[in-house]
Amino acid sequence: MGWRITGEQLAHIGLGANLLSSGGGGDTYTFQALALSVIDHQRGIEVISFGELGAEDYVVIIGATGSAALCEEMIPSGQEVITALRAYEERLGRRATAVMPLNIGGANALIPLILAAQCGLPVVDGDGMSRTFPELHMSSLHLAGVQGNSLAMTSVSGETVYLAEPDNILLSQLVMQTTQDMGGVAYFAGLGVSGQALSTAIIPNTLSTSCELGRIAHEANDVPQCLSDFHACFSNSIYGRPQVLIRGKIYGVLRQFVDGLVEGSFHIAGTGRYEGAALEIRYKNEYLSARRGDSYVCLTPDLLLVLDEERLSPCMVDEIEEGITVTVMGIPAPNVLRTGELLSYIGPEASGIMEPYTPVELLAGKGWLE
Amino acid sequence: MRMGIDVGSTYTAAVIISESGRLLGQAKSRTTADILSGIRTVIGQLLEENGIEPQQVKGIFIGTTHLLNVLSHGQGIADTALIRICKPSKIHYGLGWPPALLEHVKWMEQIPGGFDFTGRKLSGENDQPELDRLIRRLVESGVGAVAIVGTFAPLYEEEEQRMATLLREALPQLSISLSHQIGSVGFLERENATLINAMLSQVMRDSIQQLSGLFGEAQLHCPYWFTQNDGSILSLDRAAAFPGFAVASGIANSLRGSAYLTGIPDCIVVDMGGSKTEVGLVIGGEPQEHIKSARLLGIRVNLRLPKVVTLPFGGETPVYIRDGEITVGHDWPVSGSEAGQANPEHLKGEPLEAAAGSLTEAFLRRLPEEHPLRREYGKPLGHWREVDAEQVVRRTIATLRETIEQLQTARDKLPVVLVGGGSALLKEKLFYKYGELVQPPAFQLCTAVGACVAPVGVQLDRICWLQNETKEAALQKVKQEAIQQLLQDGALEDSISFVQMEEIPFDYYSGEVIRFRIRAVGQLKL
Repeated sequence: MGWRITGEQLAHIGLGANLLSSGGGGDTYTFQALALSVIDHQRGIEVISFGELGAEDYVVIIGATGSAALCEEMIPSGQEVITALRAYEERLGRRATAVMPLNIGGANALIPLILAAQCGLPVVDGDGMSRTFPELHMSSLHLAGVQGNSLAMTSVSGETVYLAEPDNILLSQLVMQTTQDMGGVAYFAGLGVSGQALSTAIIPNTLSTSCELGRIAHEANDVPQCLSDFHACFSNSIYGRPQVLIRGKIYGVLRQFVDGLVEGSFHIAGTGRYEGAALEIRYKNEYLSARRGDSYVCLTPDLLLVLDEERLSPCMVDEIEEGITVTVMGIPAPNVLRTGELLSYIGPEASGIMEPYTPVELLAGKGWLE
Repeated sequence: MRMGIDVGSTYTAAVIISESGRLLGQAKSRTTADILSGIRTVIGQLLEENGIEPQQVKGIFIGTTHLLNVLSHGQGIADTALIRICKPSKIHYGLGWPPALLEHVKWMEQIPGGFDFTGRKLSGENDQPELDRLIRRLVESGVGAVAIVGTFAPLYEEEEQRMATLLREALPQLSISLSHQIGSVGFLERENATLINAMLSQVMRDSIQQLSGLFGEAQLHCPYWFTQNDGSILSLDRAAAFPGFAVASGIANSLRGSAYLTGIPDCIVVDMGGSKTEVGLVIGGEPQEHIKSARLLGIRVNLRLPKVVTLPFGGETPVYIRDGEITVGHDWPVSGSEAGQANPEHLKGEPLEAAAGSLTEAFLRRLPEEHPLRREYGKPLGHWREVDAEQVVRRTIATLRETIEQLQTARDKLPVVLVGGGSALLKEKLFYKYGELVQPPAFQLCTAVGACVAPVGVQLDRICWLQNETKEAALQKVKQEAIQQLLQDGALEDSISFVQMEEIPFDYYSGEVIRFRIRAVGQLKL
């Protein structure tokens, strides 16, 4: 079902996208500001569901690649995505009829909206990752055999290049290299897919889920209400019934940089009903695993939500700080991420954790504890 | 001896402390609308009642919430223009700002420029006609202050500096705030902080002028300082240039003063004043700060601010009772449908009925009549139903306990220090289940004491390229810079210590780039 995004909902989507980013994906603040600056408040931004896509539709994926910290300093003009889309369309000789994010987790949720607001194109409700992963091919689109082939990238200084590779994995490598060459941040349009192909490859409704989660966190008066509304929202979404893993305080934060990625771990000492319990979370750009003693209770690609109770907003990996009071939720990833091929890119073993993937519902036990 | 002055929202307080750290005298008076006459009153009292000669005072230290109040109420704010030096962007300035504050940002110009991370320019030189037009606009619009924000100016400051030189030549009276001197990377947050700094420039300039006059009149010819957001001193020159660094000085002084008065270096501080209550954390005698995304009036800023939870009630906050629903202040419902759910909107536009009394009265109502605090109060308590008073007290205490829990560290239960004029009431009720609860004797004067014992401080946030040097060498350079600045600001060399040293690897270009954030303090040589 379609709807129109309002200015107020941009803030909800910004917050919701970080709730779904499992600690990664970059701060949405700058892109929220840009989206809010370019939205036509009368018209809003049109959202369509995958069911409304027809055979004649052509959906182009819009996003940014590179360093989130650089995006926050080198503010985008708002024109980059349009330039990239026009370059891509020209090269293909085909116009986009709708746009979509590659990953709903973090800043990339908002970038298609920035384009849609300016060009009057609709946004498809859904994405290819249901959270965020570092590379293009770690997506449901790749799994469904949609070979993106090509995209156009535009840098902050306005330079544009067109990249083509027959294979998603090779394209992904080329994109990473080009991003570095373009100054560390680039905006892209590409990986075009027909409406028909997309309707079976999409992870549906994640945009509306992010909007709803953000609304809940904005409007909640207290932590229990927020958690119980999250619970209902996730349970009725493409994700699944979330598990509260612990409530407590962060300590023992370790952080280092390895090959351009932030990685490390931290602990949570339980308080209240979790007094005496402890949880260790490991991360590498995103949260990867949660462990009680020697037993894992949540493993990537299932999502971890580390909710800062004071602000009712998620803690990103770079915001982890000793002493913050948090509730940690393990959220089942959509089934498509739990298939063998995708697990080989994004499962625990691919992330350096020597433990076979088991769904969080089985690891963390049943039941809604609050 | 030193004099400490705290201008709070409700009271102005002053103390005199001897060289050896003894509290020699104190005075307190209502904060006045003009700020100055309240200060004049307390200084007069303080000197007179304690028989202190003005020449005996070697230094005066001022902390205040005044700047924060100026921002919230919008009076005295300089009309300000914003100049971005960047790849021109469609992002509006001031998104999410309170309208009363935003209306003082008169216009924005985006001058093509800025740098990328490696120092490569994002655009060519600007031509002269463009710059002439900018200066004409500044003259014609009559703004009093300008904020200049350039992309990656914290690493490459020359474009901001060049713009400042140009504007200073053309408009010597204009107050200029440069973003690289205010905050680190994060363009929009730095823009917000720089704008706020610029907007406060006139208030600060006027305050300094008036205070200098007032101290002169009082024969106080010693130097004086403001205090800043980490509770260290701020010289007059720097205060005039960076009023943004003093917005949270009131609470920072209270945090430092609490540790000083109790001798407890690690504690949670509950400071209950007349109109609000602030709860903060002190470790090693130093106020703890936000690491990321600090907010000022709901605006994201990359100023370094103390990590404090502000609760919307203090001892003098009125309590309203309407149809059995109790509201403390204008928007803090205590009972009714469900706590927290009553909509404050329904109060707006309608005249409020008279308040049943203040929060203090609710607490006193729950004490036996012969209790010393009740006798001290001296006024009749108004028409309080016992049950209503009980509800108000219970909810206030519950909120405070929750807030204290939130600030507790993960592994220790830190003692809680109660300070501020309203906190006398709390001691009876806020028994603390895990640890100690301490109320120092001079609890009402804690903030003035904290100002009085303020150290010289320096905070550096530097991003370093590690091409030709080791990390250790780079850190050593930053540390040396900190020491130099402390010495220049009057610190005793032997007293210098580093209270915080953080390495933040910068995502992207890993290994080659590192960000150091360090904070050092030293005792002021008087």
